[in-house]
Amino acid sequence: MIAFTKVSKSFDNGGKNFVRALNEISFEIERKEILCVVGPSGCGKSTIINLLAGFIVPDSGSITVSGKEVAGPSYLRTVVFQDDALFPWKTVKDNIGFGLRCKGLGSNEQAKKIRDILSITNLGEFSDCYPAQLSGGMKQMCALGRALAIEPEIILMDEPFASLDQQTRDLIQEEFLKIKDQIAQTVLLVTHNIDEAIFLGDKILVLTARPAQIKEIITVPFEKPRSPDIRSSQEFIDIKSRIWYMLRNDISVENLV
Amino acid sequence: MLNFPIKRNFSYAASIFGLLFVWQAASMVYHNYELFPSPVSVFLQLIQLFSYQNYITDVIASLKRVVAGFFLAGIMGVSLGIITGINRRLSYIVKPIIELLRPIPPIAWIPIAILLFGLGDLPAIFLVFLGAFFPIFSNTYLGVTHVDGRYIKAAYSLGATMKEIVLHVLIPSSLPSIFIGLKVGLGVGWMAVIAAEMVGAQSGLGYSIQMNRLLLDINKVVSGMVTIGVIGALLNLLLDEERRKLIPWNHT
Repeated sequence: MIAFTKVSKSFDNGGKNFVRALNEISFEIERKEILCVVGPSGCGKSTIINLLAGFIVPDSGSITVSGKEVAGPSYLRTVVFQDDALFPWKTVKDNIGFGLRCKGLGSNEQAKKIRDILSITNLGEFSDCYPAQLSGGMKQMCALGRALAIEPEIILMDEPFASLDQQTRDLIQEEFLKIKDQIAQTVLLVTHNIDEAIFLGDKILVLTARPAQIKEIITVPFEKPRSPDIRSSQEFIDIKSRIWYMLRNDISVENLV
Repeated sequence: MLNFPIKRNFSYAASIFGLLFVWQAASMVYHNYELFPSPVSVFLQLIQLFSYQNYITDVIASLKRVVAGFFLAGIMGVSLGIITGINRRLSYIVKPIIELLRPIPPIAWIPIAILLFGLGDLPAIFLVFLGAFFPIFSNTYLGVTHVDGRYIKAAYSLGATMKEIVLHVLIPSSLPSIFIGLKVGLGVGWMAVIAAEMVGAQSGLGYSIQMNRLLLDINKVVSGMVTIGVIGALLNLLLDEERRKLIPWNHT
């Protein structure tokens, strides 16, 4: 279980821009659950990822994974970035194998794991391609595969599908859920896309504008495995308008310009 | 896609022929072949020169010096560039020294090179080293310090140690920049060897040009220049080929 307890974080850009990103945030993520975080742009959603990944430390409060305080980056809390961050100099196969090599797995075990991941991400025939030769969707699948391969306790996804077009995005969300059913994996997914949060999330954490506080935690009622049809169900639309209504109050026109 | 290289090679050839044509026309207008030889006479001279053992010895002497100095500069420039790129404290010590030495052209080092190493191969190798080292170092340093932070974050969150980050992130992502340094360094090194040989050697293309200048044999001087240009271009092509092999993910 992952727990944020009264976590606050501010950024001080040389004294000029003092920004309070998070204000005493507390929440928990259960094992094998997908928690989606939505909130107005710039509210500090990514700060949650950076804190949990161990890239930055909180000003106050504590972040624990299975009871242990987060200290620095670890493969146990691996990140999938918005623009994939695949190593351009490594092939698909070697990108997926990188974490395994760091873990010190033998080459046979590495090869076996890479084969498994290639098959669940449908990237088998692209194993020797470089990222530049892949489409946006395939790159993101590869980045997800790279994270899955090392079997972390949680995968942190920072707007992972934001740079994809809508159709690819829908398809990759469905693909992601299928993979998630095969490999039970705890996921924290930050997104600005409410549809995405409802379709993928078991729970949705709705944040306020800066300094972000928790507005509400919504439990998504749909059973898994989920069919894409739920997107057009009344229940889905109801949750969507509820979240949109919550966010609306916090999105002022000044913030948009 | 397929006919692109053919088209490109064709325009390369056309461009070189264009240059030769303009040269031929200019020499015919100037009409003093003693002072301004035509490409045809230089070409004939080159065929004759390459049948002499002496000239080939000169070409090989220059090449040997360039290769030696360039390899030294490559090994030292790349490794020092990587180490200073990683270690900020070391960079505070190394960078000011480099910035002070870099503006001094290799030619200005010739007197000291000759005093230190006498005449022969060593001062020329030293000069090539000086010419090639700075661009190689600077570009390597630039490459290492400008690595996209996302790759480092990603590597850390995949469980990489500092050593793995250096080997699998910093060095490969700097390779394109390192190759730019190597290309510039080789170019400067090739210029430096000619300069060194004009003053401090008894063999090599630079020495040959200098001798022929004293003998007022402009035809041979220009032949030497053409040889230098062609070999320099070939060395550059060789590096491009290596680059393609070593950096398969980044074709430009």
